Amino acid sequence: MLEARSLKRSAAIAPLVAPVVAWGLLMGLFAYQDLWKRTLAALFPNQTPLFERQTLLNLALEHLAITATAGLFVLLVGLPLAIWVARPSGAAFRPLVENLVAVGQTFPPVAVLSLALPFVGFGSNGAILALLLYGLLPVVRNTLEGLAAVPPDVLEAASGMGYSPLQRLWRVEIPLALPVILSGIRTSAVLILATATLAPLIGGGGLGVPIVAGLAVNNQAFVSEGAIAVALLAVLLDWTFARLEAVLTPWRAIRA
Amino acid sequence: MLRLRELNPVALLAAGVGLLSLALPWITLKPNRLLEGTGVGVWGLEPGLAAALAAGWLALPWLRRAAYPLLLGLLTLGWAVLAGAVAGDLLEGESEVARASLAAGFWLTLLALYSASVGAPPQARRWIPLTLPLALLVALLTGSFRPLAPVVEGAAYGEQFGLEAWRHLAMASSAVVQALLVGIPLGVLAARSARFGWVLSLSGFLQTIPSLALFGLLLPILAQLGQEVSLGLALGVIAAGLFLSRLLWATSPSLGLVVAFPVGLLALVLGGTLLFNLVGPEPLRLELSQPLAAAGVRGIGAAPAVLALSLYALLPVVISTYTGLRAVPEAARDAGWGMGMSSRQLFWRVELPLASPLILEGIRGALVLTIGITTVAALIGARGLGYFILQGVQSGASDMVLVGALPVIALALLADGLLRGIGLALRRRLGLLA
Repeated sequence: MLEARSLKRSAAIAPLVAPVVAWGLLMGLFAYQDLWKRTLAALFPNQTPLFERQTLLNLALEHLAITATAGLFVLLVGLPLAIWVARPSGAAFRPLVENLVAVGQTFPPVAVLSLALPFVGFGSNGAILALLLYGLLPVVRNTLEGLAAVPPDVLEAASGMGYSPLQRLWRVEIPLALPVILSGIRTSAVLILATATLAPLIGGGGLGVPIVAGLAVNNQAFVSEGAIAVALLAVLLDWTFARLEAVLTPWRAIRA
Repeated sequence: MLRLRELNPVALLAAGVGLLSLALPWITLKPNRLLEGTGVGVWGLEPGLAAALAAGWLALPWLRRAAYPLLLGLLTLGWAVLAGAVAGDLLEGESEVARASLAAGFWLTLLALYSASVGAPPQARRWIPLTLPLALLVALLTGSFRPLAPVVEGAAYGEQFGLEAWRHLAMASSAVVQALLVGIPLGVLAARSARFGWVLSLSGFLQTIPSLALFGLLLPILAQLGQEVSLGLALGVIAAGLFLSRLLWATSPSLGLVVAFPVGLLALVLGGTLLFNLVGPEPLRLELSQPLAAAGVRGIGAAPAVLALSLYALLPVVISTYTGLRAVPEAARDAGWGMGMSSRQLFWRVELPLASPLILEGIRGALVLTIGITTVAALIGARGLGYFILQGVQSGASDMVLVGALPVIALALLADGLLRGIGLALRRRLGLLA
């Protein structure tokens, strides 16, 4: 019995092995400065081949730190907000919240970054605030969508079993809405990672640094270094979340 | 008599925010565009107008039906007039380089107005799209906004402002047109056969790549292409490639696609640049023997911008075409077959019209997306409204950032509202709405 359960659990975690290995490999690739230098030197023979002020690994870790911080704030703000307006007590504010987060996404990224400057100062903190604005829409929209799609008879059954509204939310509504919520978190994470590339414009760090520096001094090797690295990160992050969805919602795989 | 509990909570919140904002500074008077300034409130300079605005906010939550949107329009007008009056008072006697920048109270009132319009009571909602734009138009025509710093900065650019706005729209719309030309057929393929499911993953993959990275990756490729290949050669390759892929398609569709893919990319590069030159402010140059760079295909500028934007806009178009066609009810198809339609007729007369509202949703998403991302293209020398934003960021002048940012937001919201309206009319015509 015990063995069977641990076996089941390890089988459930198995899809995550590949992403963990892939992250390790990618970080190893970033750490292998010499390979980047030689490749870029071959591609762009007339230019300084590598951005030397910071190692690629450092830039990538900084990029991930900015993304993770902003992502955490998005979850802390977005999830409670969406859950609140999805419930009867906050229903009156639902159109307002939906509209505001949608309008937030029409703001041009560079502008949000720079207009946040007076409030949060130069550097990565300002970038995090702006990224929060961008990440909110997918999380809020998908959480609302997921909660709305829970069948009413399931809710009635839960109430009939004596669940309090809060228990019903935790044990029934959120687990059933989880796949949709997770895909919102995935979209938001990739969007934040992408927009974080613009952080160096307001003095923030990350993989945008060599791109912006390269564009300024017309060095295509710098631009390519940052662009390739951030594209790899984005694709890997997206794929990791896809795997995570599969692990956290095993009933979907069974049905399929 | 209405009791407090029966009041619309959103209007109540908006009124609270509106009243609070009247206690904050509205205008920051700066000696010039870069120096720090001091915030100034509204009560000292324009007590009458401020009191009128406060009274309006107090009354708003109690109103229903036509009175609500009417008062909201008046509040909007009051907001613009008050800000303009305070800025005008402050600038009087100051030097020409002094600036009346917008401060917290101004923005917070805008937020309150927006909240109040979203939270309008149901019976009042239909008049909002009339009174709010009307109020803004009156404010604009009477010159209320004229003393405000972003308007002053924008006016200083003169003709260039219109030119960049034109360029911005030309880039965004060329990209959306290309995305439609490629995305709708791909979406149809994906909806028809599971074999083409990869089309959905591919367009999803394209959108995960950060815009600045995509610009960066395209830079060396397009620079090389522009120098080495002549326009005539490119057109020849495209024509030959399409012909070859059509031939191969008959025997093996996958083989046909393998050929069509790189050719299609080349066509997107060329098509985007030519389309942009056709509708944008740059002249269209077509000399077959010249390298592509002469026609505008370069590593920096509009060519990589339009190409990258087309690839981004692909996802919303492909997904919406796919889901739209998939959602066509089987009964409608059967009815078409029963009437003796061929599969071609069925597609044009039944499937496509029924899918069109959803496809329109995709176009809306693509347009709003590209209008926003086009600002990033300023970084690779494509200019557009992002140019002003970048200038402002580099010189630390937030009013200049607004010169670029406010029109972009306005264009995005305008495109959004316009296409929503068209979508609604379309649904009504198709009988999908009661």
